[in-house]
Amino acid sequence: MSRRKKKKQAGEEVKLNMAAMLDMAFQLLTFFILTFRPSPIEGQIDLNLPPPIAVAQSRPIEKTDQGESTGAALPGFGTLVITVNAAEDGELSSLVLGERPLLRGRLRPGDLSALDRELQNIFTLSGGTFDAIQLHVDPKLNYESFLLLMDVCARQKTEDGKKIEKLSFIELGAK
Amino acid sequence: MSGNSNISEPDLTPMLDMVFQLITFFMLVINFKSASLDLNLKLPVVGSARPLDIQGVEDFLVLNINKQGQLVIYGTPTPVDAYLSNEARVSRRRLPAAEQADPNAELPTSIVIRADKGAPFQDVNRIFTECQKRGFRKFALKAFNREEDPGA
Repeated sequence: MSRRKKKKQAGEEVKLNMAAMLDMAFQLLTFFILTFRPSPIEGQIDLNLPPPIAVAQSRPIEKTDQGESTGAALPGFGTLVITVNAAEDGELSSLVLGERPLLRGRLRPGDLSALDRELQNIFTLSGGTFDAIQLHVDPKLNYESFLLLMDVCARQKTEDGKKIEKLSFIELGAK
Repeated sequence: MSGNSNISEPDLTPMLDMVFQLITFFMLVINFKSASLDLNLKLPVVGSARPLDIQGVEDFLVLNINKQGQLVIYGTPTPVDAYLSNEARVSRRRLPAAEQADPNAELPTSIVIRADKGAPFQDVNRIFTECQKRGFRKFALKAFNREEDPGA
């Protein structure tokens, strides 16, 4: 009963002060607008990299006859070595596939496609000789050129259509 | 004038509604993780770089490498050895108890490399090697899918 009485006695509408709330809301809005910085869309190349072991160069294309030997494979056997040299400014200066020079001078737009085709041929024609790629990279090479080469290598597939998983790189001249 | 006691008050409710909706939007899109990303770096452009796939990835550590080849953490050049040793120690604690003592155990943290496109390979490789020495095996190399809009 007493409550009802109170309600009746009050009889007035309670008005919220919207202006104060609006001020606060605008301040919050200003903060978020000013600090909003849409992050650029970044992609990534995933790699599983155990510590690399330096390997000797194998000859690409030529299929190696292993005979009937059942002994353990030589370390690094089946690894295609790609040697990447750089100019003083960090740009690629030459690229050697196994022992065969493939590119000379700076990277041009069609060079990576040519390398891609060449690697596809090697992995298809080698008849399973190669199952790994190792890049021997000049310490001066810039990261962009390195990543472009890694990207081409990471796309390669073996004869049976499996992706090349054994991908590694070492610094040229490093022991 | 004095006889006119009506005060016209605008209805602020719709405006407040709208403002709160905007605030909600900005609160939802704010990304505190971007604080760990150095947005001044010019990442390389690699067409086939795919968006981040965080499925199955429990934890990742972002390493920014500037054009000079320095490791930059929250905007400050940081010594590689000390930083990675500390992070590896933290990551090792997440391994099952039986594997924690194994120095060759693979750590469950993925390393996300965000290196400037002009960074020399020797510096990036040094960081790779230091990570590998400490048991990190999974790496993600960050790149833009396409050239950034210079006006942006």
